[in-house]
Amino acid sequence: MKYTLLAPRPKEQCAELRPVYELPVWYQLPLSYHCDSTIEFLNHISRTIMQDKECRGHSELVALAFWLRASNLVEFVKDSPPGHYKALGTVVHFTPSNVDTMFVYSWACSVLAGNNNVVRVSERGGLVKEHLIRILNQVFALPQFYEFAIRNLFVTYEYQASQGKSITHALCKQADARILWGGDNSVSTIRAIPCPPRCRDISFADRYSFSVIGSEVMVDMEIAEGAMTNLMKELTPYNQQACSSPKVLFWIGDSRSLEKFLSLAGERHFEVLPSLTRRNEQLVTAQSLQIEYAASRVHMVGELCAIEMTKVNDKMLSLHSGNQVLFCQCVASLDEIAPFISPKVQTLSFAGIAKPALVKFMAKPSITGVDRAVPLGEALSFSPVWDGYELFSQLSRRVVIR
Amino acid sequence: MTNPTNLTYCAEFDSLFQHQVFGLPALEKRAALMPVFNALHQHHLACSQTYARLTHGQPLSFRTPDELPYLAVRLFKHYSLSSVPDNEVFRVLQSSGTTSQSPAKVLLDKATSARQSKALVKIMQNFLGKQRLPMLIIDSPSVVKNKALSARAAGIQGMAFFGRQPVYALNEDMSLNSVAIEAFQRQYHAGPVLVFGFTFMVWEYFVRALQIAKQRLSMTNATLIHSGGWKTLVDKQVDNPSFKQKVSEVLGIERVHNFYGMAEQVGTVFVECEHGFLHAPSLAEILIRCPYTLKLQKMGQSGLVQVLSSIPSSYPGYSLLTEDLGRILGEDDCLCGRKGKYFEILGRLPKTELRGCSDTMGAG
Repeated sequence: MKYTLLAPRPKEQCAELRPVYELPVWYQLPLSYHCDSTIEFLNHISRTIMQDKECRGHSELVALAFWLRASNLVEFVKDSPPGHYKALGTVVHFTPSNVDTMFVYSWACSVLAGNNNVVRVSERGGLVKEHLIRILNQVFALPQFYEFAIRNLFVTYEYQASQGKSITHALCKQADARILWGGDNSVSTIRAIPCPPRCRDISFADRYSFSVIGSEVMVDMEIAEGAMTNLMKELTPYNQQACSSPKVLFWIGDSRSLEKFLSLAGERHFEVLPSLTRRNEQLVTAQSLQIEYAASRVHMVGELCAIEMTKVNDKMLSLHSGNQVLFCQCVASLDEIAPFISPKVQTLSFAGIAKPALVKFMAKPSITGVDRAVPLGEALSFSPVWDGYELFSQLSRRVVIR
Repeated sequence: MTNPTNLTYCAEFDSLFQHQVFGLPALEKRAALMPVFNALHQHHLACSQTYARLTHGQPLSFRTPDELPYLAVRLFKHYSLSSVPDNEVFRVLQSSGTTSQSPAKVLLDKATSARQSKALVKIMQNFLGKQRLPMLIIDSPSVVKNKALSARAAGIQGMAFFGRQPVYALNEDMSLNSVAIEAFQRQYHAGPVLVFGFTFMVWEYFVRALQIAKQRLSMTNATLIHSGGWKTLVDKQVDNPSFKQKVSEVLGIERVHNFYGMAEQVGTVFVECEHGFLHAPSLAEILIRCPYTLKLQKMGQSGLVQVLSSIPSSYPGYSLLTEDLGRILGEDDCLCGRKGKYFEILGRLPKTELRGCSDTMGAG
């Protein structure tokens, strides 16, 4: 069975020749739940990213490094008494190709829980992924992290090919938990593959996210500009392709105030040279929406393309291809948004709305979606509670000692 | 046909068509073109709901070509855009659609199709003369036998107007049909002839194939017309000058004209002149837009190519933003004497990779 070992790079043992299910990772006892050496290991990855010139150029990697700092991780760990939680064993991760760093977060949570990990990395993916693998190898090579190097494995293979399928089957057969990132179909396909009876599945399937901004932000220009900065912060990473990247903006206010707000995007300076293809992609999306859904107006300001619709629905989202495009709808109140919120909605990021009003709105039985409501600008900040899962409890075994 | 907007358009087109095809200096050209474009705008507004949606909120007429609305050319891959009733669609042109991509679909009625031929004849005659020439086609005869009209077949059929007794230079497997080529040369060596093919095919299956076979032709009386884009040749690091040099060396042809044109705007082609520049005829216009802002670029600045054609009435594609990059080099003052803008094509926008949640992992 042909696969490529991305990290740790094989040294003395010629791992490439052994089937993936015979690799040492499967024979190691897991480590302790939330131990100091794990935090040290992850913190070292953080430092290595920050010290790497090429990595620092990618906002996704900087955000990841920031998240992996010991001071951040300690916050997650502080409330777990030793002995009451144990690692599950070996967790197999199937990672997405659309967001190069997303899977590192769930992997890090699994490492923190003490598990051994086999991570199937997508064959596709760009520069960010390459940098990441390079960094992981640097850290795995250090003698003080040997225990982690033998317990973690990053592999890639052609999973559509029949050989690849048998590798996937072999991985599932021994998994104590599977973390599945991807579209609905791919997640279901993998979930149908046999696994041990007590294996846990944590599925991050198709989700989408939106922002709600109240026109109140326009009362103060400084607040308005801050809101625009935070909005762009959510639209830029991963080319707006992450599940938590907002694709829709509900504007509580009228079309005129929305236009004023959007114009703020034009005053921003390009931080890096914008993509040559983006504007044309935006045009294709905007014109497709005009054709199919009679979009009422298209605003192209700065790097942003905002398409105003009388009514946004989730069917339209199939036309969204990232590239800093927002489907906008003006509403009079939060209640008007309710019909849009299906269980597929993951994150709601907000600005210009009073939190009590939002909490009241979310409490309604008719609201069946939204796993996270966060202040605008934080949609992409990963938290160990993700997609409605508490990752640490999902990735560990709770022991009752009376 | 009885549609009043169509009648207005036809009248405006006919008067534009009276002009010399490369004879209009800038201001006169604009004065002759704008009534046609405004008529097309109003015609499609009345006859295509899609066009009406795309131009929602825009005025009924415009003063200059750059004010006119434009469609992203990719829309033709996703939608059947039509401004005529289904029963008037006379043929559907399909662009070659490289590899897995869906091909573009262009719906033609008889009138649009006839104008395409008329325009092509008028433009090409400016380079080839009025006489129909013996024609060697660098392709295999099977390409035109296919029932669905591919852009390649349409291109060959279009150019066949200028030839008589066309001879195909390639066999079905794209190998050289040496017998046919030799016979063609023997028969027509004394007078002018026309050689036509797609740029890549001319290079790969004619010039290179002859080179590999260590053969040389001396078609000194021939004019080579070729089109279809440089993408595959750029990958092989062949540019226009080196293409011409090899054509001269291997085929003995000195008169070589490339032309640029869209399957979505057949007829109004932009032909390379004797000085190596592509020229906009009076029946069409070219604009360059900034890829980041879509604002009009200044002369000499490179950007996305927008093409405007006076021809299409059966589908709303008279003004298209292409995914090609180009640069306008001058207007009305090319040394070849032709009026209008002259320009060069610099390549295509890089392919954007679509990556979303839903196409992530595929089968386990």
